[in-house]
Amino acid sequence: MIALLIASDVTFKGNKDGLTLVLKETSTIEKILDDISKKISINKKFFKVDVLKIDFKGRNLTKDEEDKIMELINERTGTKVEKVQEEIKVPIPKKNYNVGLDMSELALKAFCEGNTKFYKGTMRSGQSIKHDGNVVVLGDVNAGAEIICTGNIIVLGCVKGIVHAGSCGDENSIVAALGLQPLQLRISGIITRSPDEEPKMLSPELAYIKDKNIFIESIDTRYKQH
Amino acid sequence: MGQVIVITSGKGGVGKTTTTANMGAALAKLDKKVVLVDGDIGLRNLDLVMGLENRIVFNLVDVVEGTCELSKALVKDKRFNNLYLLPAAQTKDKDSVNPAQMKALTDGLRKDFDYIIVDCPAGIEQGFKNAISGADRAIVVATPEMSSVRDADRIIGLLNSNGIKDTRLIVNRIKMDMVKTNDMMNVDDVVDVLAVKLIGVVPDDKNIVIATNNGEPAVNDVKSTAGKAYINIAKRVMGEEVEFLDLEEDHGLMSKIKKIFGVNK
Repeated sequence: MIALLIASDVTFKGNKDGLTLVLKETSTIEKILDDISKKISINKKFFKVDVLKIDFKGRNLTKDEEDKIMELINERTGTKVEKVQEEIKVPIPKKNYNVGLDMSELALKAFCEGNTKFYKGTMRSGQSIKHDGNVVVLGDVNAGAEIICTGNIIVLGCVKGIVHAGSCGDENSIVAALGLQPLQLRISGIITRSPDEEPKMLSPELAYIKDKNIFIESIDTRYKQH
Repeated sequence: MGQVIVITSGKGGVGKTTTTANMGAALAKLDKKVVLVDGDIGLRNLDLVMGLENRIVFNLVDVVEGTCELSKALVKDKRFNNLYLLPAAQTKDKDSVNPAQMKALTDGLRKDFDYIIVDCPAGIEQGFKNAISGADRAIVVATPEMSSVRDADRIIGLLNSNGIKDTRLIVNRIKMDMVKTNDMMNVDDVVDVLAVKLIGVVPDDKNIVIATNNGEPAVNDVKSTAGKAYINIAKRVMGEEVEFLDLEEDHGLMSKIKKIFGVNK
């Protein structure tokens, strides 16, 4: 019997830990279960083990949908299926240079009086500022240095270390700097990092939370449309 | 009254001991009275690099514990009359000395020497704290590599918070051909991150390896570019303004031919 290659919504990818199921983003759970069922009969080699670790990529799944898939595989192959522990993913924030966010909007929310700690000079690797309030650094924050505060962070220099604003849960907090190239940037409970390629030119930028994501906006007034 | 200079880096293996030996020898060559103090108790190397390991009778820990007088522990260099070594102990460890003892020791050397150079061990713990305790100024040695620069940054922060504000930088083991192909950081990149004044740039030089293994400071070797760099560093330590060596100059046959034909590099 000639097996017809029908475009499947599921791809099996073996890796050193087990199996990755790459799922088409626009698919339905029924089609996915159906495709998996078909693929199991062709790809028996993956299931010759006692315990199989699987990982999902592509379409997001609810806990229910994940359970259904794992049950299906278990039933059809007798292999015990375990989901791989997800590593904490640190995504890259979205750059939002044309959004025209009204600075006065932010001014009302974030710049309330709180007590502010001023630090003069460059923060070096290993130095740490922890403060209940805002922090202003008149210098650079080198890689290996960290600032953790409950308020906003303003750096009149280049940020290469770790900065954490709104550490007690204030999602209106912002981080602003003359150059943002942090190892990690955290606002409240959300973590992001710099993209892997270095930018050609650093310009003044501001990071804020919108819809549970961190956005970066240029605060160089030449870019603003008034 | 002598000056106490500590040579430190944070990262291990970047050239502190080599710098201590060569800078000390260069200062002695320039007629200064110099004593080199090995701060690396337990893992002493300075005596090996100077070729004086078989002349050691007493060491720094003996002096601190009162077993002998300071003058008895000083080893005179076999090449220079005005260069001495105070060796570390090999059979003890860094907890055998505390910062106050170290400071008393280096202070005791000030009246007899122009320069007291302390070779600091790698790390930021007791050994480091001991070595910096009596210092007036510091020279931080870093290689143009991410890990070395990161550690040097930490060290500079610690030096500042321990009251040593006069810190200078030596960029060591730079390979100009790798800098040209963008495979290695250049001097400006390092200085940008560390934000301290440069006191010297030393190229990677195989003559250093040869010299070190023979227990001879490279400053005596006319073929060694690194040796020349160390002599310049010694002059700058004394306050002279010396131009940095042009390390890009290629002395090979091809560049000589190119020069004859007027081809620019």
